[in-house]
Parts: sequence; C-alpha cells; structure tokens
Amino acid sequence: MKLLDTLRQLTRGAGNQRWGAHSLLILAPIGDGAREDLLGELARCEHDSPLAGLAEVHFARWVVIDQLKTGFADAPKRPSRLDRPYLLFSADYTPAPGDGTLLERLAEVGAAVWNHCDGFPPDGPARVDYLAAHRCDTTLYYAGYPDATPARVKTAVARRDALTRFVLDHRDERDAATLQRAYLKEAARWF
Amino acid sequence: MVLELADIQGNILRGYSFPRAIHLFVAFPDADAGRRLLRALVPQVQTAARWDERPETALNVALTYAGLRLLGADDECLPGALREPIAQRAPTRLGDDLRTWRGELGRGKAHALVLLAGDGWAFAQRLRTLRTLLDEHGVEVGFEQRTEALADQREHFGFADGFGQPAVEGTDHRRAGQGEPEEYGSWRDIKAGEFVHGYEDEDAQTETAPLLRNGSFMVYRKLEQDVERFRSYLDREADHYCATVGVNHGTDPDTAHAYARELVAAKLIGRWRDGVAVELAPERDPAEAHALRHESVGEPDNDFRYADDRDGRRCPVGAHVRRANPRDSARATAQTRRHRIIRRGMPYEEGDARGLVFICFNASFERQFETVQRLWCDDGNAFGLGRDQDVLFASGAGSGKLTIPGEPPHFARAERGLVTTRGCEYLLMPGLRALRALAEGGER
Ligand code: HEM
Repeated sequence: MKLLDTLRQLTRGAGNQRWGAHSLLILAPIGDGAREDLLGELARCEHDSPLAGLAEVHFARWVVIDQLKTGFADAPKRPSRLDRPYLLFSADYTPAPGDGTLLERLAEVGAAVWNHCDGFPPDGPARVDYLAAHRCDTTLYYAGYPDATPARVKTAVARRDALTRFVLDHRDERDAATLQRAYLKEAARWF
Repeated sequence: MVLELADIQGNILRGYSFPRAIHLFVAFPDADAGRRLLRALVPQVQTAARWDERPETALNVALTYAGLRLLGADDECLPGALREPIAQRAPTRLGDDLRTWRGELGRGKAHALVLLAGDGWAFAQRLRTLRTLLDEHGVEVGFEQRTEALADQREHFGFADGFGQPAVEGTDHRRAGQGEPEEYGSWRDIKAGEFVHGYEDEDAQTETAPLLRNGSFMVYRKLEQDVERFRSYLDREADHYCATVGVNHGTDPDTAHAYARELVAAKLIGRWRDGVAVELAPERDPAEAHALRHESVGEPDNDFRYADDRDGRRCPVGAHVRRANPRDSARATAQTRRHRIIRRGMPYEEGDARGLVFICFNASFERQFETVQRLWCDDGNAFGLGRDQDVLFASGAGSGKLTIPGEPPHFARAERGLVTTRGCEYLLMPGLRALRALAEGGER
C-alpha cells in the first residue's frame, strides 16, 4: 500500500478528466504465486475480452508489472524495487448515461482477472470498494476523441467505410449528374 | 562512441552486397553436438571489422530461441517476441495465415541459421565444405533457402531496392537522408543501440546482458511476390488513371499508358523503379517511362523529407517507403527514430515462384519491425488514412483502396495476393564473444 499512498501524494489534485475524456487507473498487488495463472487468464482475454461489452470504454488494458525499470539515463540514484508484481488497469472512457458506474461493471466483468489480486473480495459490493481503493490519479493520458462516445466513433468509422466503398464502386463514373444522384441516394442511408 | 566491430557479425551494420547467398536452418542432435559445431564455426564467422581486401565468401550464424535454450543460454534477458513460437505469434502479431506457409521454415525445429554469401567457384567450394562440416556433427538441415541478387539492385517487381537504410552512429558509410532529420536540413545518425545491443539507443539506454552484447535481433521472412498479378494490376490502374486524371503531355496513347503505369507504380511505392524518390521527383518525362525499368542510378538521392508535403501531393502518405520510414511526417510518427530497421533482404527464384527473402535487424522486434509492419504498413490509422494499407500487403482487414492525392485524386483499388508470406523466423545474431561463450558453455 505504501506505493499507492506515494502515488496518491504525488498526483494529488491532478484530474482524471479532460473535457469529455475520463481516465481510470487501478493498481493492485498480485497475490502470492498467482502471477502465472493471471497471465493465463489475460491470454484468454486476448481472444475474448470481457471488456469488449463495456459501451463507455474507448480503450482499456491490463498490464502485469513485474519490476520497475532501472538503469536508464537520469534514473533515481536509489532505485525503488517492487516487493511483488502489480496488475495495472488503465482505461479511457466516456461515461454512459443510465444505471451504475464503470467501476461497478468492471468489478463484475473483470472479476476473473482481479481474482488473482491480493485481497480482492470473493463477491459482493466489496469488490467495487476494492477497485475504488486501488484507484490512482492518472495525471497524463491520451484520448483520441475527447468529445465523442465510443458508439459515435464506431458510427463514424462505419460511414467512412461506406464512403470508401462508394468511391471504389463509382470510380469509373464520368458523368457528374449521374454520380451526384448515386451519391445522394447512398448518403441518404447514412444519416 | 566506438563500436566493437570485431565482436559484431558482418552484414548487420554494412551490407555485403554479394550476388548470392544460401541460408541453412539446422537442428542440433543435442547440446554437445551443437556446441562442437559452433566451436568449429566461430573462427570462420565474418565480423564487421574493416577488411582491406573483400573476402570471396562470408559466413554468419544466428540462433533461434530453441537453439539458445538447447545450448543452455541464460535466457532471462530474451524478449517474449523471441521466446514465443513464431508460428503462434505470426498470426496475431503479423497477420500471417499459416496455411500459406511452406516447408519447415518457422515450424519450431531449427536451432540455428548458418548464412553463407559469396559467388562463383569460391562460394560453391565453401558450401561443400560447410555441408561436410554439418554432416560430421550430425547436424541436419531442415530448411534451406538460396537467394540471388538481380541486375541493377532490383527486386522482382522491378524496383531498385536496398539503399533506404538508417545511418548508424559509429559507422562511416552514412549518407544524408538516412538518419534522423534535424534543423536546417541536417541529419543526425541513429544511435547504434537501436540495432546492436550494448550501445546507447535513442532512449539513452545502454543496459544489456552478456548474451546480447554486440548482438542483433534478426527477422527472417520469406515473401513470395506474384509478379504477373502486379503487372496486370498496374495495367488496370493505368487504364483508370489515363481515363480520370490523365497524362497531359500531348503524348500518344501508348506512351501515356506506359507512363501512367510507371507513375502509379512509383506513387504507390514512393520510389520510381530506378530508385529516384517520388518526393524529389513527382513527375518524370513520359518518354523516359520504358527506360526507368532498366536504367540504374546507382545510389539514389536519399536527402528528402515529407513535412512540406503533408497531403502527399508529391509522395502519397500511404506510399510504401513513406509508411516504412515516415521521416519527419507529423502525427503518430513523431518517434520515427525509435522504429527504424536495417534491411538485408535478397530476391529468390524457385521455378515459377519469385520473391524476396526479407531480412532485417533491430534491437526490438516489437518496437521496430512489428510496429513498422503492423501499425504502419498493414493499417493507415497512424497516418490519418483510416484502414488504407500498404499496396504490398493488402488484406481483408483493409479499406480496399489506396489514394494518390491530386486534382482529381486517383483512388486505386487494393489488390490482395501481391505478396504472400511463405514462412518466418525470429533469431538472435549474437556477438562473437557471446557466440564463443555459447560454444564453450556447459562443457565438461
Ligand atoms: C516483397 C516485399 C517488399 C518489397 C517488394 C519492397 C520494396 C521496397 C522498395 C522498392 C523500397 C525502396 C528502395 C529502398 O528504399 O531501399 C523499399 C524500401 C523500404 N521498405 Fe520495403 N519492400 C518489401 C517488404 C518490406 C517489409 C516487409 C518491410 C518492413 C516491415 C519493408 C520496409 C521498408 C523500409 C523501412 C524501406 C526504406 C524506406 C526509407 O528509408 O525511406 N519493406 N521497399
């Protein structure tokens, strides 16, 4: 816990929100001997991610941190060592209207992963408290589309693909009026 | 900063430019036999030390993860990319379809790769000696590959290839345009640690392990090229180009078509077939079109940047060379210097099949080669191009189009199957000391 306290102190006052972009960072110690199983669980997630169904999440990941990097230029003279591996979770998201918070949903869909963390409660609302207690301020993060919900981004991508198809299908059309009619007909479906 | 050239294997920092090579992927019967073979090979390994007279042949050795394990290497320092069986990694990280792989390449059986380069009688002679040596050690060749340079430095699609390389700090054969672009038109050499372990890299890190010191990670990919398909693809795109954009030189239709073909090819690759950069010469004389395919300009000018050509009116943003080395292009590529690779590929020909044995060296598979392949060539998002892909690597995951900006723009169709992966291997080409330690290691 000392690490978390230090982090909180360092980042106090820094926000987890810039415009519409929110950020969530959770750092939890991995249970004794649980690292290998956890890696196995994460490998499974690569094919079938429990996070895929979270409508508000743009980008999220879990990372196992075995040890802090040392020996780089300007590294602290007395490098900190981790006494155990940690599981980092980071996400950027746009809060969805409706019931429940992201933390609540995460505690449910991510339980099979956080189960490998030290002290993660077996069930119940205590899990949400656990995640909240292990949350850190993010301070520096990147959001590709701070003002758009993931759903809007997906729609935009689908329209871009449709436009691309239209362009390729009509690239031999020489007559401007015909092309315009085809475009208006096609575009009517997009909006 | 001084490079320990005598401890670094040859062909990494400076290309040999031998006309011929053979690559033998071998399996050791057991660790002792492997070590004995290495002991016999180490004194023969060509290093990067300067030569007064060019040797007639050159031999080099690289090891797979399986080989390093068998030899009892301390493998703590090896990255996941090397540990993971390549047949497992390639589908997820490189988008490979294993059904297109052929033979034993990448099937996890090889322990080492012995490379021999040269020409003529000396090459044939040394290859015989090498095969005898392998036999004597009970070492089996599981997969072998011959490569042969084409005239005028060409690859099979007809482009001059191989001169777009990073300028590496501590070497003396760099040219303007190959390093990192700096102010006032100057270029700075890329730190050697980006390619050879044990030297400072672009992140000011030098830390390394004895096994890696003076070694480099090697990517080996056999890429078959469908030359006929490329030719007919260019013909179709040239038809379309002539009909829409047009070649406005008052040229006769045949010349116009021949020129449009060359122009489209150049815009999609980023170099004309003779090697001249499209960024430097966005137009050529249509009458020259045929000549471009046969003439050679030796060492084409590399001294160009893209920052003044944001929209790609000169060189399209999605052109192969602009993706593979975006230089000073803005957007997600501000860190180009951390994603450079040294390419040492060579063409091959086997019956009707032709292609490129793509070989590259880097200090990190993930950060360098895989980033260039996956994020920059197989996708366009990093450049604001959506799902547009590199013309060479079009797949079902792409948008199906390529854009040549202009008035009007030319929307080319993406053609799948121009380049097909036939196999892949990740290796370590160790420094000489490390190789010797492996050869001696565990010896009772
Ligand atoms: C059959 C497949 C390929 C063909 C036909 C091909 C062709 C070419 C050609 C003609 C050039 C311009 C000549 C030069 O700069 O040396 C080039 C440059 C380059 N290619 Fe490829 N290439 C292929 C595969 C790849 C792959 C797989 C990668 C990496 C993922 C790659 C990365 C590069 C890089 C980094 C450059 C130099 C760009 C520069 O520094 O400006 N190429 N390639």
